[in-house]
Amino acid sequence: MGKRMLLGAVAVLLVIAAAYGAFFVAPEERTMGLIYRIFYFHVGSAWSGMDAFFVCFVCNLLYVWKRKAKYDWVAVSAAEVGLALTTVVLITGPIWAHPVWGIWWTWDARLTSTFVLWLLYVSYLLLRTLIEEPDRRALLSSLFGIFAFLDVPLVFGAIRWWRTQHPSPVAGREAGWNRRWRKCCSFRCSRCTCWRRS
Amino acid sequence: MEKVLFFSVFAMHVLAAFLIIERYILEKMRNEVDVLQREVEAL
Repeated sequence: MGKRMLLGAVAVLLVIAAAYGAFFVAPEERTMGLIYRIFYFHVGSAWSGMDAFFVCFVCNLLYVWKRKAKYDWVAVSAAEVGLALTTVVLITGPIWAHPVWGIWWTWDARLTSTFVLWLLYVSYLLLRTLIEEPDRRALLSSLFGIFAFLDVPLVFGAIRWWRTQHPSPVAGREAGWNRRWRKCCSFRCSRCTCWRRS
Repeated sequence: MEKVLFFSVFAMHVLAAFLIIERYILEKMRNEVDVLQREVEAL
């Protein structure tokens, strides 16, 4: 009980510190202004949600393999937390998109695959309520959970594989690669234009 | 900007881990109650 209370307190303090960082430490964005700060909650929720679904997927596989109820309990717990965090993502995304893009929603690859992911895990939880017998419920929901996880790599890869309205990665090594790639592309385009004009 | 972003991602992960553990304990207790209930009904 003590360790759980401590973890809870640490989690709450970290979220408060993250909110402080997002509102008071992070610099002002030049074009988007205040609204871009929602992005710190949006990205955090998206990553945590996908990782929770990964935990659910691993436990589903373990249940199918070993048939121990504890794996099913962890899987359903992770699915519920992942679903809650994905709901946060689907709410904060349009709040940011409306002033920046001028629209609440568009059916691009990233947004659509995230919405499908949300629907799949709602179905996963609904399926569990429809089956009374515990072993049968655990097995069928595990099989469905393994299928549902197939959408997570699509969500992750959507902004890397296809042209989307959703922004590309903005932090880390990939963002640096993205910036260099875009600079290279724009340089080549400008050279092509110059060559055509001359 | 990147440091704040990574920190917020880390904070959300800790929160998610805490929620999963709490929900797991609840699920475990619920199943134990179900088993006891079935045993009482069988008696």
